[in-house]
Formats: sequence, structure tokens, C-alpha cells
Amino acid sequence: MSDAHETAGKIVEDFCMRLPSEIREVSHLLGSLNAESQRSNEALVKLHAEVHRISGSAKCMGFPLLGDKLSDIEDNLETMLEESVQLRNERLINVASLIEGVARLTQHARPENSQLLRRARQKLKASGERAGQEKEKPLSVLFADDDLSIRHLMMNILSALGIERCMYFSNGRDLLNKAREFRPDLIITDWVMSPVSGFDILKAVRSGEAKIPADTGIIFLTSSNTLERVNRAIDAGVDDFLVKPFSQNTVGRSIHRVASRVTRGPRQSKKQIN
Amino acid sequence: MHNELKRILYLEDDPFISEIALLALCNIANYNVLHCSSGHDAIEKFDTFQPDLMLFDVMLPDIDGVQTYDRICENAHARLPIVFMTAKAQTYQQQYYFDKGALCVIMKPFEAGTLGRQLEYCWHSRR
Repeated sequence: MSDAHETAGKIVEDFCMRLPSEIREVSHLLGSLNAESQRSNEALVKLHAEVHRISGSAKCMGFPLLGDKLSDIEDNLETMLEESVQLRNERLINVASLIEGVARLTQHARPENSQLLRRARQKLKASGERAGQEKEKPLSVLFADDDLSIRHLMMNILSALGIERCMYFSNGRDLLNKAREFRPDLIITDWVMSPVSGFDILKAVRSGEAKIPADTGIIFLTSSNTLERVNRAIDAGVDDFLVKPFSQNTVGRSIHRVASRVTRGPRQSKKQIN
Repeated sequence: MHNELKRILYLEDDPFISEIALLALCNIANYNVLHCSSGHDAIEKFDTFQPDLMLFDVMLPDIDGVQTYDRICENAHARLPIVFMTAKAQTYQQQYYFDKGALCVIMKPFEAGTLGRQLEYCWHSRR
């Protein structure tokens, strides 16, 4: 992994060195638009494509703020393609100002500020600290939701959180069938599914029927949080809820809360929400 | 095509993103990857390389990732396994890629450490 880290460092360093000249090129392309008597679509399309590329590049190299500022410029350019000449003229002034802001931000685009490299360094440091100690098992998650787009959203989120050992299911029955072999630390499941619901999964785990530790962490996804249903789920032993739509931050916090439980003794009955 | 995912045709025009992705897919996940930087290049090399899976960026300067995929499938007379990668994927846009036949949509920025696993999951989720 350290070789990969070193290679990633060189890629980011290369990006940082080339970035100022790429931003200058974007300014130059914008200037040529200003000079044209006709705001040709071809020049705008070229500029839009270039800004899109650099924006994606900046985000992937670990400079999200810079990437977002470039995305703003990209959005403006996209709108300009649909607008009249007069409105384009007005928007060009805004775009020029945004590009000046981006040019200033490029000063901070240095390898030591890259979030990509920072995460890689943290992983290296963590694996170094674990050397000589008992190897810590990475967190493993089973996820079930009958909505394909939710499954893909969660896949992207868990990947971004660095959780590598995951399996995804479209129904509760398949999740329960796999659970014994997979031995997850955590189950995240949609509450309302048919024929096997999240609640059925919860009961199967807590009763021992699922043949995995009865205190395995369980998080429900729900579109509503009516009090009666929440209390019923708490009584049955759910650990946490995620209300749709959810973000990476809320998922990360929920997983951290559940995975950080110190004791794994017999489940205590929890206080009802009033 | 094998049951195991081994060969990936990767389409991405940005040199930095492609280097990070190749690091993730070749060095970390040990796939055999052919990288193309344009849609026309990918169409030309598809037959020779015969990938198990295609991983395509969507927005490209010449023909975009979706158009490239359509042309390849037209030539092959079949809908082939594809994963699209994009920086912009609102729900309605994601659905468009799924309707085109995408196994999944990976959003940028991607996590280099888990990109290989994401593709593995996508591969095994195909019907």
C-alpha cells in the first residue's frame, strides 16, 4: 500500500504543478470569448468541457473546494449555452470573476493539502499503529433495500467511508440467507420491504434465528419516523435509524455510533421516546 | 467472457483521474485494464481487447461515454456490461444511465482504495 501511496503522491504533485497553467488556459479561452463579436457555441462548448475536466480532476485529486468552485463556473457556462447573447454578455462578467477566485485558490492546491493523500496517510498511519498488535477486523456491513437507486447510493457512501467489506441485497430473505456465512458487524436495512421486512430481519437476529450474534448492530432506513413505529422498533432492539433522504455524514455518524458500542452484553431495554 | 471479472476497458479523458483509477484497478485490485482517452479510441480497441466490463466516464470532449457505449453495443449486436462514472448524477440522471443498461453509476470523486471492490460488486450484481 505504501508504493501505491507514493505513486498517488506523484500523480497529485503533477496535477498541482500543471494546475496554474490549466487555469491560465481557461482564462485565455474566456478572454477569446469576450473578444468575439459572436459568442459562438463552439468556443463555449470547448470552454465548458475544459472546466468540467479540471473540476473533476481537482475533486479526484483531493481538492473539493477548488473542484466545487470550478463546478460553479461549469454550471454558469452550461446555462450560457441556452441563453440569448445579451444574457450571455452579463453572465460572462460573473464567470470572469469566478475564474479569478479559482486562480487565487490554486495557490492552496499543494500535495500536503490534498484530502486524497491525507486519507491515504491516515490509513498508512493506522495500519502502522496496528502492527504488532492483534489485527483489527475491518467493519463488515450487510445492506438491504428493494430500491436500486438507494442500493447504489449506499454503495457509493460506504465506499467513500472506506468500508470495504459489504454486500448489498434487494430483499430481506437474501440478506438473512447470507448473514450466517458473512458474519456482519452491522446490518443496515430498509424498514418496509416485502415479504421479509427490516422488522423481520431485526426479530430474526435478536431471537438467534438468523444464526449470527444476537447483538449484531442493526440500523433501519425509514421514510417516516412516526412515534409508534419508532418505539416498536426500539423495543424490538434496533440500534439506530436513518431517515431518507440520508447523506454520507448522517450514515457515517450512525455507523460510528452503533459500531462504537463498548459492551456487547445482553441487550437492555431502551427508554421509550415520548 | 469469464464469470470472474478480469478485463476492464476504461474510458477517461483526464490524465490525472485516469492515473489514479489505473493505480486503483491495476496496482491495488490487480485487474487487466486497457485505458482509452477518447470514445473513438475505445470503439476501435474494443474488439481486440474483449473486456469483461466497461468503465466509462460520461462527459468527454468528442463523443460522450453513453454514445461510445451505444456504438460498441451496436457493433457487437448485444448489450454489454457497463459501469458509468460521472461527477454529476442527480437521481433522474442516474436512472437514465440505468435505463441505458448500466450495472451501476460511480460518482466522482471516487475512493481509490475501494474502486476495485465497487466494480466487483457491480459485476456480481448483473443478471
